[in-house]
Amino acid sequence: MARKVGACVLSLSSGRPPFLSQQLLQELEEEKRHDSSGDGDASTNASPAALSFAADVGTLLPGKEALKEHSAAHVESDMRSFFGLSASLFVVAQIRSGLLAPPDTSVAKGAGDVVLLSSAMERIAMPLEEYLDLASNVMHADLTECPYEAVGPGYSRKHADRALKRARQWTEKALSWWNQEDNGARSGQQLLLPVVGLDENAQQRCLEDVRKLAKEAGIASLGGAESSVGISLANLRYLDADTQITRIRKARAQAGPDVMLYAVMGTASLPQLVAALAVGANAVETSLPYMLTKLNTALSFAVEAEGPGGPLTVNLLDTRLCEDKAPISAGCPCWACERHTRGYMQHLLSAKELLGQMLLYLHNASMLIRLLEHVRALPSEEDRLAFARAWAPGLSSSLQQSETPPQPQV
Amino acid sequence: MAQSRSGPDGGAPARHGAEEEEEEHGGRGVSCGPALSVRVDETCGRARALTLALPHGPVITPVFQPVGTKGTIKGVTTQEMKEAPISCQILLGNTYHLANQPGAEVIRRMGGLHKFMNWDGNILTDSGGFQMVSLLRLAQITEEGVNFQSPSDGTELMLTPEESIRTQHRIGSDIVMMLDDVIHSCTVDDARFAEATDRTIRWLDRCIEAHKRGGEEDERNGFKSGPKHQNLFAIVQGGLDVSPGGLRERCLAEMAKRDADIPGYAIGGLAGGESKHQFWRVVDKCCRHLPAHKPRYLMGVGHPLDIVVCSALGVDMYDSVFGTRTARFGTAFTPSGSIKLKHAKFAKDAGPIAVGCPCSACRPARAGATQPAFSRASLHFLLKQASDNGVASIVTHHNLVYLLELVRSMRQAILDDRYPAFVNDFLRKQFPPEDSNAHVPLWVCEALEAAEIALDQDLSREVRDEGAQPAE
Repeated sequence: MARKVGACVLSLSSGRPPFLSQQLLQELEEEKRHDSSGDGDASTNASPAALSFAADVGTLLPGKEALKEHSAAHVESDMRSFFGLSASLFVVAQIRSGLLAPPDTSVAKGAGDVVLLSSAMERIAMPLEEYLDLASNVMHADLTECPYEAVGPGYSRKHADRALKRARQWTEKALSWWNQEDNGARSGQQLLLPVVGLDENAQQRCLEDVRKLAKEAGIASLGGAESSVGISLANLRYLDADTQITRIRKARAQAGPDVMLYAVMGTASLPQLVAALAVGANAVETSLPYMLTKLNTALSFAVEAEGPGGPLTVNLLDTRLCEDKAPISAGCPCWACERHTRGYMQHLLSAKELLGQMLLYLHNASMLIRLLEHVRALPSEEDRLAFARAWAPGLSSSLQQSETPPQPQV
Repeated sequence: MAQSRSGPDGGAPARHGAEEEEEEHGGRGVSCGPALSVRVDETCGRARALTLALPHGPVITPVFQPVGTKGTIKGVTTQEMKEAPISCQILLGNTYHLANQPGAEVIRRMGGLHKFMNWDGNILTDSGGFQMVSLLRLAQITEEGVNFQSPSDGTELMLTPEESIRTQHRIGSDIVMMLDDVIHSCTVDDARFAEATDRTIRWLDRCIEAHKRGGEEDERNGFKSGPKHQNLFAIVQGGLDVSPGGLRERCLAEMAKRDADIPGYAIGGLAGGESKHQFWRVVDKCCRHLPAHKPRYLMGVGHPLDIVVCSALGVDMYDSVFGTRTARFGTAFTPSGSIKLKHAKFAKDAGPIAVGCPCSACRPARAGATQPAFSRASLHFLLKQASDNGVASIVTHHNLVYLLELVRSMRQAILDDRYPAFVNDFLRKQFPPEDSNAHVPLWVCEALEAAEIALDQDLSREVRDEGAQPAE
């Protein structure tokens, strides 16, 4: 693939990164490019990871026709150019908002139908193939998540079994579509197959199913950078932190070292994200910078191997900061920290000024990406686990050195 | 003479003001005070192209001043404001809002508003009087000042001319506005207008005294304020009375007596809902009487058509929240009028907001591309979705680029001695002769006649509908 997924995948807000103006998005991208180029890529001879975002296809549906026309009218056009995004941006297509609504059988008439929830909270059903076509051929997503049903500890066994069954059906159909001429597999894109097990055993069975189906579809191995499929660890967000990390670790062990393992972490905390990468996820998808920004909270730490050494965040609404001339986070090289003080940020956010959220999101995204890229780039599993133990002391039981020998492919 | 000051990062002093201005243009302007010199670069009829040498760099006119109410242009960074294609040289801050939040003293201790918001261009602050009247129902104006209830705790506060100047000193703006007695232009009370006009003159005297006495120079953080570093502008009041010997003339005559202490003038009391026929006549009257070598600032006016017409009458400076506020709701300026991007007809429109516009939305996203970074269709979609997707910033950027490019092209037309042709071109795009529903409004025709600008034959219609708006 031309682009390489970042360790940290951020959520898009209806096609664009939340809050960011065109200039600030470019600044974030420039900073990411700069960090990547100076972060040991020469030694690994790997291309730098691209600034990565996940797009909820449901929220894009109201613009579907315009998007299709745009895609048809311009050579090499896709959702990136439609939304003014850089061509090098890494995009993951997914159905996230649709999962918030319970399955609606009156809309989803058959097993082939997936239900998406538009940003206007309108449920829209479409055949699986249409979803894949949108994601792959119209959006030109680098990674496309095969749909799955939400399932977690609060769900009934019957529901969980149905989710497993449907995941299998959708996986089979998706693989079939993916391998057809001119579709995703031929365009250098990757399909993420969902692993949705309610418990460890179910997860294991689901992963075995995925491998088997992939093999039947003619995909000899799930692994390797050139593979057209990878695995999405779905529904992790319903689990407690320790279980999340354990599940990722088991999945890595079962899947082998080369399989693309994409962990959907939702609103997981910063220590959880660090731990997830340490135990074998290739990329974590998170809305943490968005959530923190909504709470007027800034990430503030130094990336030290022995741990952050203090609180990870600062509340910028704190009136004690109103005359603070220091940057949001000392030593942070982001665009906002180089130009603005905590005092100014305190004013902007308490005055509910749009620029406050823009600068704060830029800072939070920048800090989180740098930290997570750092974790992923650590040379060995031992180093990653040691780093994670320092940063996530609460998760130490699931971060002990263990039998898991395989290394994720970075 | 304008002063050089260090940048907001406290680094080496930036080369600003008259020094740089003289180098670029090879000439010194007329001193209007210790912190402002003005050079008349060219005139074309009554339209003027000036260069104002202010403490934070030159400002070329005609100029539109974007409004950064609370220390920020909403959704636009100071870097974007400074760099092309916006290339803003001066922006506006609202004293009332800044004094409430974060507080003038906080701003002073942070090194002044320039440092606080990291803006090394010029800043103009209003007096705070307008917000007292427009925002607060419980404001009461007395000879001492404006008595009002604090919006935060309900306590009574008094904004006097002296306090307004003191607050603006703490903020450290380059242009300080006097506190005037503001009343709504549509008020039907002649006696109140007369009282307000006379009081404004008395308050001007108090502002001049307060300005002369005030200010400070804090070498530690580079903060400087007071008459050597800030310019006090007077505000001409007098309601809509443009009769010979009437209130506007009376106010202008009194201010002329104080001209030595006034670096520049504003025309106040407009943009409050008065008819356009009354509006342009007040602008015309004031411009005819104000001194030729000093800047003229028309407060609260920022509609493109108003800017083009009023510059023909001799106005130099404008400000308004109109362009930035409407942008956030999806209204974008184009040479042929404003468009509402949320309208369904734009849902599949692949074109840019305005062809040839260099803003971040209209220009191609990358070199070699032909399509705009954002089509009307993509902006339509984004505006219809969640409000946190950055689209407000994108349309705001476009409208600011439009307004600042407009005034720059006006200036170029004045320098080239072709302002009448520019006006005709502008009107032809806004009111296409081939569109039977689009007529140049009567007030525009009358104002341009007063400015001795003849309309082309195809723009002069027998039927002139005052209510006609630029075509969408």
